[in-house]
Amino acid sequence: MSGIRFDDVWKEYGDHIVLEQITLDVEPRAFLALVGPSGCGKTTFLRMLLGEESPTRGKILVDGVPLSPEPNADRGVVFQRYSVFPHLTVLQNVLLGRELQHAKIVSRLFGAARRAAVDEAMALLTEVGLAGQESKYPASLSGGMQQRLALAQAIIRGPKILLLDEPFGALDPGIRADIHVLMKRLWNETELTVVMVTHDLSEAFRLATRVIAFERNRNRPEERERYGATISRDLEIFPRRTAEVRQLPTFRSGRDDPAKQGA
Amino acid sequence: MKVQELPREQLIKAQTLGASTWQMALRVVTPQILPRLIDSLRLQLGPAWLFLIAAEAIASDSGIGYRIFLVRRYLAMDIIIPYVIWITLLAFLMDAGLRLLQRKAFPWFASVRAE
Repeated sequence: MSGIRFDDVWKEYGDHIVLEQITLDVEPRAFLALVGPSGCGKTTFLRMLLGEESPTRGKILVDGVPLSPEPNADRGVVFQRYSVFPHLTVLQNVLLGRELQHAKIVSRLFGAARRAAVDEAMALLTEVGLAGQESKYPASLSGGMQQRLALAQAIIRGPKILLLDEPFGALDPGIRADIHVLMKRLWNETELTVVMVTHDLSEAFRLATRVIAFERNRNRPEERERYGATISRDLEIFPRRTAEVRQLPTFRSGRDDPAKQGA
Repeated sequence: MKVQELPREQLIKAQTLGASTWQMALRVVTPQILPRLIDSLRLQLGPAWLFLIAAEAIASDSGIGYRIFLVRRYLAMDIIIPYVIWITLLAFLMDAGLRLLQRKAFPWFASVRAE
């Protein structure tokens, strides 16, 4: 539930300009898809939004507040790989968010607090279609199930923004269609603004409310270093898609600012 | 066996779940390093025994190494060979014990290592 504003953002590595003149307003509850050729800075863009990298010039504002310089619980993320913890079971992976939130020192919950968190995690696992798998380790799950788990793990803390870095790129088409349905439902039912990097154009147009294409304006070898990629297309999907008004919340987000009705 | 070998994505992911540095060390890094620590302990068992026997031979008044070197001057192979077998057996049991510990305490590790 947050608008994001990019204000003339540049990213440079030494002399090498990767992104230039990125000015973009993302409305709350948008589903933004980033497309573009490899090496054009899509992932760099996402990493700046995540707080892993900071822009060389310009500002990124979330709800008018500068982005915090480290990743934190406001922004959830799902990577293509390594998104779930291999040493935790499915249930523990989802519980982890709550445990880190409430038990600052021991990072584990006990008694009633744990039972409440387990109930919540189980509800979320049922939601993403992983009921019955909760005591398995991620290594024994299929790729699609691992990404479902990663989604559940990312949204248990109720992030405002969900960042997806080619999350479904490694899945085969049937599984991918299933997980698209899930992704759409999560986006409608929770209060997320989603930013997704993808290589798959049909995926971008099927899921997003808005598709942003990155491209280099100058691509001659001698110019590559000094001219970065910028936004070349900004397509609103027609007919216009909006997230549904939230019905009764299926699970608590854990934050105390509920989504505005109709937002 | 190195913390740097953990995928960076995991640490970022932990941060997005709200983990502090301490929490990351406790819940993400340490549990994944411990089974690798057992691997490295197993590798070090050989040198450990070698140096133990050598140290006992040089400066000790008890232990298997001491006894072997005590009877060495009589070429008493009937005593030395059983002691060597004892050393082999003990080292083997230690190794098997560590392997068992790794399998029981970190059941997820076998499939991670296979990747």
